Amino acid sequence: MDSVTVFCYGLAMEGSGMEPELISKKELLEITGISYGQLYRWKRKQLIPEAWFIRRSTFTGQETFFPRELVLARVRRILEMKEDLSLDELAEKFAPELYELVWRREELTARRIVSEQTLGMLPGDGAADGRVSFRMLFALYAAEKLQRHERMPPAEQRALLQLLKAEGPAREDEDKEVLWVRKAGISLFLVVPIGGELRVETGARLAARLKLRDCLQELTNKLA
Amino acid sequence: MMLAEAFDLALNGISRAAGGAYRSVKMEGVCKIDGDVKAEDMAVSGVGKVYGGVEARTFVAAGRVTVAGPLTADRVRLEGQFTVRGGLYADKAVLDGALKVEGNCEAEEIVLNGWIRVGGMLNAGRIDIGLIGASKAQEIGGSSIEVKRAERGAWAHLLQRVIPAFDPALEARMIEGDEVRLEATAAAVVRGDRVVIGAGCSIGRVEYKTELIVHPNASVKERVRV
Repeated sequence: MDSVTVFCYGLAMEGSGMEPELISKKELLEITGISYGQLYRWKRKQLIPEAWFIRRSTFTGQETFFPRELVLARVRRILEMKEDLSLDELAEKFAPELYELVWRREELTARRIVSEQTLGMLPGDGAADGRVSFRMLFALYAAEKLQRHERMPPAEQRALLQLLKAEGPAREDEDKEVLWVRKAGISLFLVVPIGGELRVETGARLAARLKLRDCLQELTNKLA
Repeated sequence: MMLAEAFDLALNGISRAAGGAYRSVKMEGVCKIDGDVKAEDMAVSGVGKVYGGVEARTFVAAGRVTVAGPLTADRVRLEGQFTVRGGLYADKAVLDGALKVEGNCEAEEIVLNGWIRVGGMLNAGRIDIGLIGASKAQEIGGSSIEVKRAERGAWAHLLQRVIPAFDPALEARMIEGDEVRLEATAAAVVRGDRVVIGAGCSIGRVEYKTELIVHPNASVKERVRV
């Protein structure tokens, strides 16, 4: 077992890496019916994070874009909740960012965020009190996605989970992916910067790969 | 903010103090504070420098005042020449003179008479600018934005000394608001619901929803109703 070695390397390439789908400010205003005043106000109150304002030059000059799913979900929530809360109260509601939240197992399965089976990957008897931190949830979610097409032995699932948990949810400005390389029935998991061309030695193969930032975005969309 | 245990800090003449949390801070003369300041009320007059950020309920500055970090206050009143290097975050800011902000300038309401230079974005619910000097901001956004040439009152006369160029004008890359009324402004893009482009404006592209009025003495290259 120990004698199996897997060689792989990545070549950094510029400018690749997948982008989340974007929506222009104009389109956002049109779809949601909000005004510039509201949008700028929410930005001031940090209801819409600064990081979501993506500036791009277009042929009509400077335009601002947003991550489509995230911003639409957020605007919808602000509009729904605005009825009974002041903006400052709202800001507090959004403030404990996802990262700080803890989720109940039943809720996660009921909302089909991760399967019961995946939750079984949790070390020990799982979260004894039935609660899962966001960090752990992210690891679970990514692990589930990674083994969608191929079965992974339990021991390797645990190793993957440990790696993903240590890696943590990617930051907005970081683009990394996790690779699953198999050779002779042995798995190796790697976290590497995105955008590289990947070669693996003969006899080994890339079983699956997953972009962590996309994965995080997908997860936060589901949780929103 | 409750700082019941904190002391008052009063600086006079030529003096220097450490940063920290105070109940009230008064700086008169040529004064420096060597770090971040937290206070309920802060007043600076003369030549004042804070080598850090300021967090206060009210912040009043008169003279030539510099804050090296961010300034966060409910009410900001400035007279003279004011520089803030880490952004300005206020509920209401009223300014007469020259304001230079490195970073963003955000407030619910900004009323300014004079010269303004914002390195980042000027974002306020209501922006009311009476121009005296050649002002500049990268982006301006808000609900109601009004820019006009300042009336030649007593201020204009006084402010000539502190304001570099005395030709009233505003330059911005992008201005976006619900109600936008501009004078003497050069911008690449102006977007809004109701837009009035007044005398002396030179705008690349205006996108409006309900109404666009353009003064005969203004140039707009492209008008788009969206």
